[in-house]
Amino acid sequence: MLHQFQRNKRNTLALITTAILAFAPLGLHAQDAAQKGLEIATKSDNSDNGFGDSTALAKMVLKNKAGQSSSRELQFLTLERTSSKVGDKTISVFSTPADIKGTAVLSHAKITANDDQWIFLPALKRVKRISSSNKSGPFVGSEFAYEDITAQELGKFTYKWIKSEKCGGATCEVVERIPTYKKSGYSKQLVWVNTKTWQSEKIHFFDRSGNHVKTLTFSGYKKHGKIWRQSKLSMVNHRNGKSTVLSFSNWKFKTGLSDRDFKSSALENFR
Amino acid sequence: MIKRIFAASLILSSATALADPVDISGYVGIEVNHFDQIGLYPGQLTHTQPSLVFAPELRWRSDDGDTRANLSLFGRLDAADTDRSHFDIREAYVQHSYDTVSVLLGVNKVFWGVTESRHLVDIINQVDQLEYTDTDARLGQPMLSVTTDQDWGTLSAFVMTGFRELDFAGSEGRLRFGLPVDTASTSWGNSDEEWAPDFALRYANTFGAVDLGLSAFHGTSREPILQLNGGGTALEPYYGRIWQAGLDAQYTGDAVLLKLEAIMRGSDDFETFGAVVAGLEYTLYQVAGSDGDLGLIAEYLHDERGADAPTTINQDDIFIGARWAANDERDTSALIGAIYDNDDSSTALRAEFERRLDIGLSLKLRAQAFTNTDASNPLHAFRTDDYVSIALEKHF
Repeated sequence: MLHQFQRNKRNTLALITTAILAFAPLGLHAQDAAQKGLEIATKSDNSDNGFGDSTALAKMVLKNKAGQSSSRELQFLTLERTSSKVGDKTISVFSTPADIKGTAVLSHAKITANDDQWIFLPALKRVKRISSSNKSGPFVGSEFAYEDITAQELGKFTYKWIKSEKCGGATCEVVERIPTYKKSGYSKQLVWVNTKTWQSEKIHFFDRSGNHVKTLTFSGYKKHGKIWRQSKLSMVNHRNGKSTVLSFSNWKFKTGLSDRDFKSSALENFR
Repeated sequence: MIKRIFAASLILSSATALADPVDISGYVGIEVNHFDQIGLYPGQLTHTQPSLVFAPELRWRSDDGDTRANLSLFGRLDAADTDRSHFDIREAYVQHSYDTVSVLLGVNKVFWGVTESRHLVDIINQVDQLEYTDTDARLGQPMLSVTTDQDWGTLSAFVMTGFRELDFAGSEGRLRFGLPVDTASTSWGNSDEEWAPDFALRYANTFGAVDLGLSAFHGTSREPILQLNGGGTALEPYYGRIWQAGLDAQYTGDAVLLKLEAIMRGSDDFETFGAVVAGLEYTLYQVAGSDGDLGLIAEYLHDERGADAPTTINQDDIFIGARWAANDERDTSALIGAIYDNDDSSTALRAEFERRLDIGLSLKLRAQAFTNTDASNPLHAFRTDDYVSIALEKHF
């Protein structure tokens, strides 16, 4: 019994040694990949620094499998918060469809905790605090989940560099990112980051079972001063055949928005 | 008529000359309500109550966004109960924001509160009782209000006059008491009647997961006491002067919302009393593999008022409800709920369904039923007034 134990022990030791020898380089490599992934994500995140605040108009076109479409128009307002410990503040105000005109959603992004969120319902003139724990639910019936539309803070993911590859006329770094916040609908995302602009070109979303379920494509990038902004986001859902295109226009920066505009009590002023 | 068009175009063109164009929106609608049973009282309409509604809104903002003017009107033309035909100025105000202070003068609607089954704290606006299919409808209230947004929260002060009396259904109308309400014989607790000034103060702030509101009110009671007249042939409203202190709070968790509203109300007319609504809403996200969310709501209602105060049906009640949002491109949603009286088992049931049928066209279905009403419960007067309502609204 004892003998057997000792033999087992020796075997175990040998196994561990082999394992260490075998995986040590790979372990280092993994660390490098994580380091490189984070560096790329940080660079991409930093490329956006200093925009102050922004406003933009957006048209969202929802298409179903049969090709029928419906649309909604909204205004996005964003207030940059420079600390990496807190996320940006955003307001989305709907102007169409007419029956929800003036409906506004305010979000104070957090890094790993749930974002603080309020909705203003103009028909009732009522502001409701809502839970933002429903990350994976659809945003206003679109193929964007709430977690796709809210602020993509650096601290919301862990990163791993996968590879470099050609994308259009430039080179892209492909980075895998895994959500660190609770209740994400994704096991991971693959992000193509353009090394010229440090902007995202494409994101593949993988569901909890690891299937590639959605693809988001960014296009029409334009530089506004130092800040890059896309004019089109196209989300295709491979599972249900539906798609949503979000087209931006009228990007404006440093418009003078302040914390006071991003309070729940101020939401009705954006009607 | 020509004069009116001229006046309207003058307002429009002068506003246009100021800066941004006036933003015009609103809706026209048709509503058909069906009462299956015959009314209890003579003269009440039978079965069908069709009506038309028109609710335009004009909004203007200065280029810098600091000055705003809003005009929001509401009119209903009822074919079955002429007393339900009514017109109201919901909003007509000018607002200017200074650095940390915003001042509003005119008619406005202000909502306070968090609970679903009863709006206890909400006191600025009178209920538009003729809009019985929409329990959130309120009459516009003239006011001067000053709001300041500070790091320590939002503080608002209101001075109001031009009190809005409660409107009652006519003798042809359903959902009324057996005796008519004689609004021509209204009496008041203050000799200035509807012009007596009302004052209100509200503080609101967010503390992490908790949103808190504290409010104080001194002025004319929004709820009248209905007194039997000398001949015993009609009810006469009496509006006394009251004070009210209110608290509303909501804790927002992952899937659960905890809600509380509480008030203390006093007057020379009745003994001071307290009332509370407390409950929770639990949401099941993407229920049964769909995109839809199902919220389960439970609230307890308690009101200690005595017989000397305006009547309430919510002395000791339980509300159970469910809210479903499909999260589809048509914004389909539904709500069902029941308020059960713990003292006498009287129960009021309500169901709502909404869906966008086409661009700008929305459908609203509503139904209400009263069951098991006890003879001592005010709901007993409505026991044959169960209805279904279908409304189509074209938004522009």
